[in-house]
Amino acid sequence: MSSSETANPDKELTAAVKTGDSEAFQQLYFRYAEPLFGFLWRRLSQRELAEDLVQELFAKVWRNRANLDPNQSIKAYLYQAANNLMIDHLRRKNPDLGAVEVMPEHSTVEVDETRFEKRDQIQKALADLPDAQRNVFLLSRFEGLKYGEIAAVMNISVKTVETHMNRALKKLRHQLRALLALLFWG
Amino acid sequence: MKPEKIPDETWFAAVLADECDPTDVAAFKAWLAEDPERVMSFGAYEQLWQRLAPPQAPPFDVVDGWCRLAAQLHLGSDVPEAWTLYLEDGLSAEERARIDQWRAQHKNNEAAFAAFSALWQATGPKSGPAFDVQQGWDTLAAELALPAGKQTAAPTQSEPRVEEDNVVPFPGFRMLISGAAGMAAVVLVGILIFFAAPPPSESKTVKAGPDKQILITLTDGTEVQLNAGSRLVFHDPLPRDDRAVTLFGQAYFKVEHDADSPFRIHTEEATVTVLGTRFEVWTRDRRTRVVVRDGSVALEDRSGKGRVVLTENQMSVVTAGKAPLEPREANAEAAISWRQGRIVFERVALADAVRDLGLAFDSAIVLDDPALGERTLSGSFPTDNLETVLEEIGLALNLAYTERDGVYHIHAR
Repeated sequence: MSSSETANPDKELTAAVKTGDSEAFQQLYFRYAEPLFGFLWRRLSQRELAEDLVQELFAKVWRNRANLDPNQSIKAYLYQAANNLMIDHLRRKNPDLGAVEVMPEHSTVEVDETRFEKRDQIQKALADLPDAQRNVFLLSRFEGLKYGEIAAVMNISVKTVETHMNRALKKLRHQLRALLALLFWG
Repeated sequence: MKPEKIPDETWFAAVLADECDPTDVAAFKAWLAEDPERVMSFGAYEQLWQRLAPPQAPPFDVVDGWCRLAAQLHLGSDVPEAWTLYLEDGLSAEERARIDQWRAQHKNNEAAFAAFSALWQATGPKSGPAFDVQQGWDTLAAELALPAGKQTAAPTQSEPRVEEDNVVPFPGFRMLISGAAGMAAVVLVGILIFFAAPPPSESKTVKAGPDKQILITLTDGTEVQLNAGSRLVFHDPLPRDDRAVTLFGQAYFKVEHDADSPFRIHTEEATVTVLGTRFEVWTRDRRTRVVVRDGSVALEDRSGKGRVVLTENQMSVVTAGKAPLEPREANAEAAISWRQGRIVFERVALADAVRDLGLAFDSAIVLDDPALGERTLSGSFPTDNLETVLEEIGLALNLAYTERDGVYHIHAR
């Protein structure tokens, strides 16, 4: 944890941003822009797009700062917003979708992910997980979010996060049994 | 000791995901040590965990990103003042050093400062013969047969109903102190406006609070009913030859007819042109929707890909960067029922509806299972009681809700 983070925890920072303190907003940006970029890049595998979405995300946070709730995890809020933006983007990209029709979110996400999941078996195994399990697993393993944060991002209970993690690991282990054995012996 | 009913994988996952405190970890290790099988099993998971390391993302320039964002959002309004003083030798050595240090920190900082400095020099006052304004005016007034006087008062205009605390203030910002980033476009924009002829009317932003609507009467007589959480930017007074406003959110317009001067509403995605009619504009998540109650309205996207004309009880949608959809029938009365204190959802994803309700009632509402967010909701609900709304939604979609610690959880029955 950096010294600035100890000096100014998320909760205080969020409360300050809510009142229109742009310096606090800057601190928030410096704390979370890069991790969120990583999160978006890992899902979309397009650098410029991930950069644009990070900017769009923070611009929205600032414009809607009045709606921030300092008692809720800003980190979870940011990841949730990033996830929503990503889904909105994928929806927009598909010209066949009516603007007011809402697509089930994951079918579109998957279309995008198939491109890079083919790279190796691990990506394939991850892609084969049910959406909720994959999302929980990736938020934990790739983004280092705590169960409580994942629960807030995904609007599910911590207990459900635990169950999804458990099932995801079990399935991954089963799927990657051959690969793991190979690594182990090779 | 690990309780028997917890599956091994739950423990493994919690340990690997760093969810355990040291006491839990110690208990886990003791449990592991009891049986070599467990060690093997956990070893396999640990190996899996390591193998699934996150792919390294390309570098992200946070400073550059912040500069661009701050410019876009017009943060840092007081920086030019400090720079002005710097250029006019009005700063202490300490303050000057701080600005120099900031300039050296990033190329964007120096570029922004250089641009400001150049502009400052170019637009600075040149010493020349004095100009007597009063005398000049008297001469001109005599020439044009205007009544002479100290100054002519601007014609009084009916004030739009602006509630002071709803006017979004321009945020002050001491970037020099935090010293991490700089400014580019903001500075240029601010200064250009300053040195150009002052605009005849000033830009105003009116924002409706999270739980109330605001009625704005523009100086041309147009009435705008701004829904909760929405924002309208307009000039006050509204120039007769350029009746244009910018909307973020949702509003109902009753536009005063003026055949010579069309009324325009800009959103991030679209432009709505109108002669005199009643209609609703809704903009969110990069979409703009227009529903016409009577009269007719032209809708075109900002990138000029297409244009449609909507008449009574018709709607269309513009998604950012795309042509408007073909007009289709819409129940205008239902679409604008929020004006009468009702919230109407017409084939809206439950996730979006919940977001709107949370905003309207200033309450936390969560879907226990995110998959529920994909369910589609239609209906008209009162805005006086959230629990009544949740009950009605529950009846419609066979769901139930539970209130815990002020948070409403929507879940399966």
